Amino acid sequence: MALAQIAEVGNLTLALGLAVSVYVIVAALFSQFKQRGEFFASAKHGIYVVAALATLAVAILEWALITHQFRFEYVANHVSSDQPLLYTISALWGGQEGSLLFWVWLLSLFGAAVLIQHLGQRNHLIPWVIAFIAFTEAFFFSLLIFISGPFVLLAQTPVEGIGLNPLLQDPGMFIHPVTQYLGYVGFTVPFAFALAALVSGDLGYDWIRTTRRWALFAWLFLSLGLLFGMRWAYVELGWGGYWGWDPVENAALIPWLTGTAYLHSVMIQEKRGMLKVWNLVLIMLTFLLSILGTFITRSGVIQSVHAFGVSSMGPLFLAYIAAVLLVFAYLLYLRLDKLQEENRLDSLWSREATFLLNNLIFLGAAVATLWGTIFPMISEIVVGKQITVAAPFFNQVNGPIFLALVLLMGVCTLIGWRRASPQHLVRNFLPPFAVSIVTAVVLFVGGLYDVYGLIAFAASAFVLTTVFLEFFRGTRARMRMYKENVAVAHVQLVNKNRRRYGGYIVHIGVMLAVIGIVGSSFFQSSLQQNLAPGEEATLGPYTIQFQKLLMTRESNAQVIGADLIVFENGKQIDTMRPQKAYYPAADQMTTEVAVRTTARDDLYLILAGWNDDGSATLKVIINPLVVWLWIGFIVFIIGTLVTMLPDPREAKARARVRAERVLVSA
Amino acid sequence: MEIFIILSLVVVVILLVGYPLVNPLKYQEAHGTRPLARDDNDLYGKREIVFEALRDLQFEFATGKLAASDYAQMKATYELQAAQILQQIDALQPNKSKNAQAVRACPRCHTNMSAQDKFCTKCGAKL
Repeated sequence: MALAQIAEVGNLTLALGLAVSVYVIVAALFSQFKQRGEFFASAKHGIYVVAALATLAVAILEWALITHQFRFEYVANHVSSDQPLLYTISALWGGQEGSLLFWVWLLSLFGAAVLIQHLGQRNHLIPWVIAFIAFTEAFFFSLLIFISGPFVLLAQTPVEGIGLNPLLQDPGMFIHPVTQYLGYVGFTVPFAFALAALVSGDLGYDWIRTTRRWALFAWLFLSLGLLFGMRWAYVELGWGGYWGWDPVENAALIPWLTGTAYLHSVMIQEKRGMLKVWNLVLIMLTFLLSILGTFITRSGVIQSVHAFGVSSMGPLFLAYIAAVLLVFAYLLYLRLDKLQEENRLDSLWSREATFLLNNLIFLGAAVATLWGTIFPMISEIVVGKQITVAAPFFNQVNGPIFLALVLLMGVCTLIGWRRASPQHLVRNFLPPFAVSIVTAVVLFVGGLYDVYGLIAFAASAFVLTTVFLEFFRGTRARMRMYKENVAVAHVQLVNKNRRRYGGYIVHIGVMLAVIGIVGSSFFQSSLQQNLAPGEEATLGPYTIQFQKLLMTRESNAQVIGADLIVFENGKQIDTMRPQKAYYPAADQMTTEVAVRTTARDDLYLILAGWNDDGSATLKVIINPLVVWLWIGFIVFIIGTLVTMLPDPREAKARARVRAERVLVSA
Repeated sequence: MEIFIILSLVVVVILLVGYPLVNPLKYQEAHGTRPLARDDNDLYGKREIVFEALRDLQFEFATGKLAASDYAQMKATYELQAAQILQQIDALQPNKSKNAQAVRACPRCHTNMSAQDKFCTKCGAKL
């Protein structure tokens, strides 16, 4: 088959995708209003067919990328023939058109997954859910068809492609966008259920529990997206840090913040029947911020290292967001009477109250970060010139906010649901408080004089102690109540309440990450020095001796490296080679740092420049404790997985509620 | 060739999506669009919430986060709530309340129990 015909088939899959999506909306709604089961069945088939069509489109584009069909404009722009296969595959999400296709592909698979999840179950929310998923699919198919086509052919076949942006040719960038998009797209499902609950008026027990694991799934992948993005920035961008408050980083962080608030506040709805409106608003915000995140990343409205493409998608994205917002607000208004709270707070000294505060703080952080992120856009509209808000703004605003969150994390753990009596609170408060004071004193005596550093480390010690106490007390209670031995009691404690104790494991991970962040941002030290062969530079305990410059060739780049010997306190411990790579196809230079990680600190070396006389300019950075950030993330992910394990008790309760309601309707 | 591929793709899509419409009877009941029973007050959900709350309370008390007096008071409040909700649910289920009239006595304390009870509500003995 000729290339032009393959491109035609590609375009046809998109057109059919759009047509079937629109049909699904109509058929699903018709089946609801007219009680026609065959139309509902047809709409469900439509969801599967869209998934198949999107898969076919992705397969065609991947085929073109892997076989270097440079007549495809997208292939010519994102692949070159000397590019490694891994990055040829990942070029699918390396550019605008491909990543929009990737988005709709994931959504179509999630739509099918929702249906498979509910096979054989009667859930009257599903028609509304698939109607909204199809609406969102139709939006993305329209973008692909009318604005940003992945199957556009060039008039002539170029001899060679431009290749993927060299910065993106890194294992971290292979995986980061995938996880980020799984997170962004994943929030469509819980939001679709929220919308369905609003439309059907069935706002009680069911929707929030049906979507609990979907929300956790999306949140887990947003977290992984942040992790891989930070790791990529750390090893690939080569400026010594992992977070620069770049607009695209913020775009990933903001939905994570509102999503985290949501995960906490749904617990109050589940346990107390409270905060119903608030939860609906939070999931709406999280979903729309995910859409906004996709838009910011892919449209280049705000100049950033990530915004690799500029196009005219802006008004369409804004129209989509405005439409969803309006419909949501209208439905919410219609249903306000059904959303009355079932309970009141028993006491201000209760976990519910701390959760409320936690929600406000998370939302505050999200609003502050969003404001700083879109400020350049607003200033351009108002004053006609982009005024960028830099990292100091975000650090100043978010620093205290995050410290408050950390403290709250400790306090909240100590307070029980519903009501805490003052004397119990004091008794529970004292041990962790004592540990945090001791930590601060020990650090101070050990030579740490930075006030913020001391506060932050003391707060971390406080929270970690509260969590360990929580495990300790829970285990003890189980040993008393059920006569279990220590090991069994520990396992059963987590097993019988996976959500609560999985959540605590997440908190441990967060605290480890906080220790890493505080260490590396308050106590970083660095030096830059020009060294001739044989000369040395010393920073902290490390001495770096420069040997020689070394030129090598890789398949698609020229690489220059500096051979270094590293001494710690006079003893040779390692050899390292920071490099720079030049990619002729893209005419671009990248920095390949050399990092030596220990539990205490990272030695982070950058080859900043070199001279004709064989000397090299080296930048040496010591990032204390940064490894704990990555370890913390791993613990965090394990904890999240524990909370996601199926909860047999909850599943049974849900089945019971369903069965009885079916019985009553019969 | 091209026309053939395009046509066959379109036809396959239409057949897959349209199939249930040709055979409406088969799909009318099986895919049940009929909604679950109206549960305007979310009674079943509330019942689960109260049960969960009672379990929680016990554990919070055991881990030393609740004073004994608070525990007793809140336990009583939730038990009362649970009873009220169960009553309202029973009112929705006429069949069930008929069965519930079958009575048997507890082997230990001889209190009358409904046939569905597994444990005596007075002394806790297994029935």
